[in-house]
Amino acid sequence: MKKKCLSLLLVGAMVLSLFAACGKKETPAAETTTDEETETETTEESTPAEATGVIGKAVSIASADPVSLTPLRATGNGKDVLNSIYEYLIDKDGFGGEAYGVIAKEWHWDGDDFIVEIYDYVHDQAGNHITADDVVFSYVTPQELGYANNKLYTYCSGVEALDEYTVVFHFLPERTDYFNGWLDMMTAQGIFSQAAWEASTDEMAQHPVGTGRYTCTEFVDGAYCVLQRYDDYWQTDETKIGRQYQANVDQITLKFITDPQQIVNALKTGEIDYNYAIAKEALPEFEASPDWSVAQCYDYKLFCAMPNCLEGLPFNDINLRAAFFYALNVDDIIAALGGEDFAKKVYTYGVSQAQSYNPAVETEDNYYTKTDLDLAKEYLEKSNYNGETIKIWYETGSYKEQLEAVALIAGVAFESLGIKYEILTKDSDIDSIWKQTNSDWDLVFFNMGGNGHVLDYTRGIFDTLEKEGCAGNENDPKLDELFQSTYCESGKSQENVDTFLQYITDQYYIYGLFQRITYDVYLADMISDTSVKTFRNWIIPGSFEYLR
Amino acid sequence: MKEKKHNHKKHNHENHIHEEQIQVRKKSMTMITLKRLSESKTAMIGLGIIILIFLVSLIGPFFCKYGVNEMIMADRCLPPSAKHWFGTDTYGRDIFVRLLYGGRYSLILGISGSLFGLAIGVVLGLINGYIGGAFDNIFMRILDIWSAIPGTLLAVLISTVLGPGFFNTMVALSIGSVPLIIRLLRGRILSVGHEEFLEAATTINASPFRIMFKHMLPNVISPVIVNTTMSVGGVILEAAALSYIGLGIQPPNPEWGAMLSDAKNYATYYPWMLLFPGCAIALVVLCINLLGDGLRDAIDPKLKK
Amino acid sequence: MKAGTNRMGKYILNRLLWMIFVLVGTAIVIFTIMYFIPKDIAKVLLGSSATQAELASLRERLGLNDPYIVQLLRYLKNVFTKFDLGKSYIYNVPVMQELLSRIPRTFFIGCSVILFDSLLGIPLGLMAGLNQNKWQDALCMVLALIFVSVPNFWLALQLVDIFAVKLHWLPAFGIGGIKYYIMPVFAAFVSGVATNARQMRSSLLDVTRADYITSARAKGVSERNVVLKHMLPNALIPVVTGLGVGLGKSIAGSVIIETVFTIPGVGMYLLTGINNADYPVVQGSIIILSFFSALVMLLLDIVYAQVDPRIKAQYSGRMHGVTK
Repeated sequence: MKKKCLSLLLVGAMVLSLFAACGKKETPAAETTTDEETETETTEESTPAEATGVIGKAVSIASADPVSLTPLRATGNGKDVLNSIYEYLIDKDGFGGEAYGVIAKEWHWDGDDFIVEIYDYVHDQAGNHITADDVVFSYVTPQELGYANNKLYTYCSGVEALDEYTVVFHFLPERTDYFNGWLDMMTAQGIFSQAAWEASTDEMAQHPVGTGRYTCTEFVDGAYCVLQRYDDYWQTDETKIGRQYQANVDQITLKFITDPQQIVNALKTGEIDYNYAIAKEALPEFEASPDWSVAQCYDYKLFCAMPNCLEGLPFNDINLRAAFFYALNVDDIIAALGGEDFAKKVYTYGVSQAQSYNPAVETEDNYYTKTDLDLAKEYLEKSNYNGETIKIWYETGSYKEQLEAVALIAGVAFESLGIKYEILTKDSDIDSIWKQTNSDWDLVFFNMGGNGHVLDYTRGIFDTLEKEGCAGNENDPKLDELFQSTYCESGKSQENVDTFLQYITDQYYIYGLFQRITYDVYLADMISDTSVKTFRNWIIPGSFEYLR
Repeated sequence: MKEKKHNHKKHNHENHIHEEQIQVRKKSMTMITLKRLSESKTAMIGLGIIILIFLVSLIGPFFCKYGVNEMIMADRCLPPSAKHWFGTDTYGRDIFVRLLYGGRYSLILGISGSLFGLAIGVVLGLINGYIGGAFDNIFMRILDIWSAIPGTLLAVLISTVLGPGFFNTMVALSIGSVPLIIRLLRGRILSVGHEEFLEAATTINASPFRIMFKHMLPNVISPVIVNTTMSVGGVILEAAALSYIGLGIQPPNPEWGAMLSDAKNYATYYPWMLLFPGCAIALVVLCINLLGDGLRDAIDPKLKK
Repeated sequence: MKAGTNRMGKYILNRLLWMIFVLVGTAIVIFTIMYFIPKDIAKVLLGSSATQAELASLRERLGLNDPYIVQLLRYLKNVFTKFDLGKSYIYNVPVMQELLSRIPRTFFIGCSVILFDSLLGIPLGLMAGLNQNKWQDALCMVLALIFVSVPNFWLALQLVDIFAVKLHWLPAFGIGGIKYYIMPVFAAFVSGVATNARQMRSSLLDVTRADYITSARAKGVSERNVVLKHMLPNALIPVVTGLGVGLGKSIAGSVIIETVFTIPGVGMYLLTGINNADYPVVQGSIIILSFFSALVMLLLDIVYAQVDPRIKAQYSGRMHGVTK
């Protein structure tokens, strides 16, 4: 009895000590967790009433965890946070939009040099004046530290300041004509000042200092992040501020919630006011309720299937590829994902919102517009398939549901053709399967992102400048030739784009399947419908129109 | 000692008879155990249900109206009805037939995972018990390291190295249970006392293997058998955890744990997708527990009195 | 008495020294297993558009071309002398720093789970074992079965639905004060209660039939004292061992609980590490979780070594073996 008490006491003591430690550990990080009890309430802290006169507006959004707020890592989760804090030299007006200068006043080409002149009144959130040296510093520092995010030396041989407000990028000869090469370079790096960088002790991971409209006042890693509007923003000329850089709300609280059901709960309990990509089962509830508005959004990510055309593999044979493409029933995939309200079929390797999309592809007579099992069987006969097992891969990441649907329906297609197959999954997309030129895979399903133009989707697959080679490039010189002549600034005419896409369609190199349709849910009386529906693809909460 | 040796040399054939008697005694001990087990009603019910589930999972799918992977898009996400007894899943597949078919994977995975761990644990534990001394000391330290890594995490690590697939998953799931088995064996060997085995060794002059497997094993096996039986349910649940992460059994195979993980996001809207695999696992766990309890009662040597 | 405490002290010291050995060994085992996972670290860090030359130079810089032993020793030196668990591949944040803020949360949940598991499981098992085959036994076993079968994420979501969405009593997710931990802990400890109860019942039944129980009764000791002084201490021993194992299971369960409730703890960190193939994160998290596990088991051992010499023998005694 005594010993039992002793043991329980010991366990209890452990628990209490850890609780005490728990409490202690939270408080020293003073900036982050001063009063955690009230963290969930979006307190209407009034900022000093400034010109815009919008006092006390705050919004809470569920978001992905950026983990670190350093400007040196421009990819991955948390783009919405980073884009609110840091700015680029030049940015695009949304998906497929025109380029316009943010920090850059004007720019022009001079041979292989790209010259940018910046405004002379830019300053960051700590008050440091931004000069051309800071721009150079922003681009060069990540490279020196070993980060690979801004690809400076992939495109350029170097960057330097010509005078106090002029920067020159020395592009490599093969990149001067590269499709959107200059724009990629301009949107690759958020600008920050050398002074602020050197003052920071943790590479600005927890306390970022950018030039943007919002500063991060609180950041609890893994839990939430609070952005406060920075009222001393450097650009005082309203006409020059792009749509995505509006700051119509004083405070944005981003809460990192991982479970989709919990996001629904958070909306219902009032812990968040806005969410993008709500779980489709929860949708009817929100659509029916008058308190909530729902906005439909066509996700620009394209889901596709790509066979491995390496020599010696089954899909090297064009007839087998044709057989599979004609047998695969994309309508079934869309039905499995919830129907036409949740997935939109595509008719070429590219989405319809992108620039240079040619609607004529929707009326073609090919595997995009029809599923023909008999035709598929004809092709199968013609091919030299002799019983190999096809290895199908997909990655179980955030798109597991969609990719699994594709894999299963593809399995049905193979079965109806009498082809043996095996489904394999991989749990990460760092070393993506579709990037590998080996014989470990025969067919891979993945999703590809784009940046506003139909050609963006082709880069990762067909561009031999970027990688060793893709499945089709290995033994098709015409493909490479067509690609290189199209994927450049001088060659990106509608005609060339059409020819190239038609070619890859005819050769069955890659099959664009569908894009997701997602739904944003937000409080009806807080955010106006039109502002959400007109401008999309990543959250720009500052730019919405707030009704209260 | 000298006297014993002397006796040993003289009474060779007596020892032979002695050994045979031990053999006979051991055989009847197994028979006694089995007989006692059969007397326990609950254990028999448990065993019966498991065998029934197994048979149904083998034969059942042939008699079902729908194929295991047959997708009927028009019938997605239907609740249980006369047409689909357990409803359909998000691909329009009948859950009832998938549940039956999945029984094969889950039961075989659970049983073989436990048995595999048992085999490794028994062999290592007996060797350790036989050699003892400094070897035992070092071995227990290694075991401490082994058991410091939580079982499921170890399964995840090993799964990541070995890759997916049935055999690899089985190995990954079984490795975590080995330290406990060895500890149980060791505890028993200690409490029974090594003198008995020492005596057996010297009087019979049997080979190490014989001593380990014919003499040590029956006396120390009882807690291990019970533990292994109980762990079958745990293995099935761990397989579910692996499926959640993307390791383990690959789609479209309808393993119960995978079905459970897939249903996670739909739990509030289509509860039947979660309910039936969950109940199936619960039923198997219950029956195994009943069986294990009965075994424990049957094996207990104290009851022989 | 003095001799007893002396021996006890020596035993504890002995165990602590072995503990260090166990920690180092655990780090070695985990490093070795992760070493064999097929991956190309340089490619992960630089992305697939890197040239061969860049990859080769990075490999050289990171010391990836060194033999296994050199890499292992370097890793051990980093972990144990500098407490440096490496940097996350994706986010480049030091793993140790991330873990430091997350460890208290996970450990708090873990310890609470052990506490509740024992507080609820032991009496339940006791009731079942003392009234074998009567209705109490059946009831307890049915409850135990339900507890162990219910998937913890389902339970978690149901709790959130009731207490957060409908009643607004508790917050649905996040961290903060105690009230953020109530539902996560509840969802986590439930299945452990069942295992504990079963184990308690099982070992109690074992003990009931022992000789010393019969002799105690024969001596005329009251039934209450028989239970408390003779049966309980001995029956608790395997239960305590089981608690250690249960801790391992609850750590695995904590991954799911933390993901559902968005509690930034070690479990969630581990899961994101696995999903992103962020190997330093995976390595660091598993090492920390194993350390915690070993620490708890050590504490449990020390406590019960006072009670039962058999436990001492299990972990530090000398077994003579047959070959003498």
